[in-house]
Amino acid sequence: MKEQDEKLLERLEAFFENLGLSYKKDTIGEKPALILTYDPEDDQLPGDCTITICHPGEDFTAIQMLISIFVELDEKTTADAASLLPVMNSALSIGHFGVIRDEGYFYYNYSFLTNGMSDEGVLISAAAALSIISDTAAEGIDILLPLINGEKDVDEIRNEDIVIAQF
Amino acid sequence: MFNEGAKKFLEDLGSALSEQVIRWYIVEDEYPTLIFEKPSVFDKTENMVFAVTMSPVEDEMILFDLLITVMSHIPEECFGEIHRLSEDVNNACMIGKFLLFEDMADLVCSHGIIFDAASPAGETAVNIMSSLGIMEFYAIKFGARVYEKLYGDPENDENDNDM
Repeated sequence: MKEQDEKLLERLEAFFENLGLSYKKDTIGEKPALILTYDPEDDQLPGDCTITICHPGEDFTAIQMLISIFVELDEKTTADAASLLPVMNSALSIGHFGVIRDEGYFYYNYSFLTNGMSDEGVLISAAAALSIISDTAAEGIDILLPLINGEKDVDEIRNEDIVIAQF
Repeated sequence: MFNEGAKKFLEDLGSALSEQVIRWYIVEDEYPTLIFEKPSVFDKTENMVFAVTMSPVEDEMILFDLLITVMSHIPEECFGEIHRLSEDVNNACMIGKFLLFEDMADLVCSHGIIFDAASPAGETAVNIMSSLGIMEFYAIKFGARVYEKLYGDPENDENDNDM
């Protein structure tokens, strides 16, 4: 299974390289990871996008695409921003925003199973997903940033209509 | 044109599931939705309701919105706790996310998948069925945990975050 995962990641690497995206390779735990790197000179990604291959069950393979959006926020800001995530997530079809509270870490994640998909279908779905999750993560940042910068409080943001357009 | 093809796909899916479900039917709104119901393993008074909606999205892609209504009638005083539990579980779930819709007091598990519209129907069906299977597994596991929090004495007492 590890060999198959590495091959799948290699296909994704070649595919995203052809699209002109910058990337580096790393390991997360023991899993190989492809990290599409944030480039402030272009607007393709709002943050690093870490791609790993997961197995939610013995016979299942999933591609996980995770964009880090905020790190090391203080405890109060983390709690305030986390309280907005259910509203933000209810606006989404694809993926979800999440938080690791004790690290003050916020992310946007989309995972999909590859079961049944052809090799080409996997790449097409991953490319389409990257475009959508990149825009969604950027919208999430726009919603939370005024809170993090102290420009607005939670109630002000909550009272505005939180709309995230994915398509 | 899209809706006709989508309805046929969903009817085939419903037909394939017919022996595993209590009932299934198609709802034709702006886009078609397959609804099917299975008995809840932790709440004998309600069925788990599954919905699969197909809609066309940009660049010749199809969006599948999968949704399982895990539990209804969540008491308002428990909303905060259920949100927090969902947050923890969503960190561990690989497929789908748990959401509490406060206006309906429903706990749901939802997952969107985008497919190339040119993908063969058989391949797409395998993927959708697999995704629903994983979501159902999570929904039963997390639903039992929430049921225990709300009402105690669950029949299924697995309650860890190991999704």
